[in-house]
Amino acid sequence: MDARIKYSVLLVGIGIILAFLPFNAAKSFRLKPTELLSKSSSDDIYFSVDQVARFMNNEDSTVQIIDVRSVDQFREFNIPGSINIPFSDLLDPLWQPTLNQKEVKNIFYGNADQTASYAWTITTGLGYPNNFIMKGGLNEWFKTVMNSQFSGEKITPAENARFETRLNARRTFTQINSLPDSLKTQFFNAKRLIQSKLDGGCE
Amino acid sequence: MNLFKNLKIVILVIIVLLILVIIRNSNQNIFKQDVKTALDAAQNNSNLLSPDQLLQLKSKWLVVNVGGDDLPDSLRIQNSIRLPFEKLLDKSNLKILQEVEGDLILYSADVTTASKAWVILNQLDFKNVFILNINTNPEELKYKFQPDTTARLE
Amino acid sequence: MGPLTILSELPEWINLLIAFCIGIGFGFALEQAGFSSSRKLAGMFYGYDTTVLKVFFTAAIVALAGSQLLSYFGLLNLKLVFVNPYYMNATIIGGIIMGAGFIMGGYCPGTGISALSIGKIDAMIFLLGGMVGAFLFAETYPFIQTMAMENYKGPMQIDEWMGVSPEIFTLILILAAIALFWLAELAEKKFSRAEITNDL
Repeated sequence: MDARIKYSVLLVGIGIILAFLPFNAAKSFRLKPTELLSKSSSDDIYFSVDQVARFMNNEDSTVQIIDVRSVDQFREFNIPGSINIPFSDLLDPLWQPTLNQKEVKNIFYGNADQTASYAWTITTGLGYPNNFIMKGGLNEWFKTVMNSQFSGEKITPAENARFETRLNARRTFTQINSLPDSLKTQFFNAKRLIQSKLDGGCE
Repeated sequence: MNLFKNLKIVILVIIVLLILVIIRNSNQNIFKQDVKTALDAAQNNSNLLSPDQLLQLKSKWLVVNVGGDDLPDSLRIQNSIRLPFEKLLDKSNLKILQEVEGDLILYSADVTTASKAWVILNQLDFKNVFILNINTNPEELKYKFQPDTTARLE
Repeated sequence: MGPLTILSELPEWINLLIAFCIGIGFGFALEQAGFSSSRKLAGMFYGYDTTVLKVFFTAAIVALAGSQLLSYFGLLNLKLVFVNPYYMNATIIGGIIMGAGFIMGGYCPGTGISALSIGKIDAMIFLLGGMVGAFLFAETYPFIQTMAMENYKGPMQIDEWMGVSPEIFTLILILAAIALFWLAELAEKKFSRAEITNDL
């Protein structure tokens, strides 16, 4: 029999099997459910607002702080140095190189914990490494970093350092976010462009 | 008949492939859902349920507490059970979840746990899973940013 | 290297070695199929020899079906496959220039290197031309940048554009390929010439 017909039948057969595959692995989580569960139950996935404040003060390049709130909320104010990936855009192909990388840690934050937890579980489930949540979100940030005041008579060196960090973070946060809207828009547009630039690729 | 004889190898390959596909599909320990379903459902908060909505539900439901703390006293609910989050997918617990009739309602005092559990169950193709939401809006910002109008870039 | 799950755990040099072996295999297959003769590619244009179409289209559908099956069995992470971003204007203009180059030179970049390695002089000139083109492109890029960036569509995929699942698209493509092969062979009969690889 003609080899052409054999190959054609084989290819069409495989094509039909493909067309009726019960699920699409490229669009589902890569981690096994049990793996994802054990990662999720770990306490190592959280950073406190104090830790994030320190990252921000030091302009730490081993982390990228990711704001999952909407663009409008982000424009109003955000943690300086953070990038805005609204939760609705989390699966946008343009953001995948930013999220799926081994070099720096992704730290998600929202107003509170819920959206950041969703974002964490989705990115981790997809197999992206190094995801973290800023525990408490911006509510905790305001409570601890922006509004906390030292009360008491003696201050230990450790406490002193913590308050120093908070004070610096508070100053940067207020300063950057108080810039006029036009300046902020320019700044963020430029930043968004740089961040979303595709890297890599091959022919 | 001759046609089949000639295509023997081809048909064999296709059948083997078919069997492999079926075996893979019957594997319980892999996610098969489109990630987008979780994103869409979580986005418009249609997966959240307030205590009032819960008490008005017509269908059957079961509250599963996946957090470390007890249900709050303000919520006096009869049909609730407690499953530790890290053991949620153990065989026996999974069986309990699968046998729930009607709506499956997740609760944890710290909303992160219930949120993570919700994504996992949603991606395991559990239908009618909700998060019990004691506060009005979990993502509400309780503070207001006070800009410093005198601030200038240094 | 690459999205194959088992390979991502291996050290870098083994991955490079594997790439090297695949490269040799590819070159060998090209040369074996007679692609180091510029007449093969020209034959595609004039319709007397459609081997190029058959080989590359078969390769495409086999790779497509194979990668989707591997992905289904969890052996391949299709999310790591880079999707070229689609710049509409640049693609159309570049496609025309490159297509003209193909038919005038009788090689595509891959077969050009294959022919170079067996010492064909025309292939050397062809590749030299390719390099000059790349150099000119890089030097004139600031002038054509706006045009090249126009109509940017992002990393587009045909199946998403058509609104079907990637797997169904594969089936459609397989059926289209088989129909096209059949047409191609009809064309070969119609425009047939003496076997070109033998009279050398």
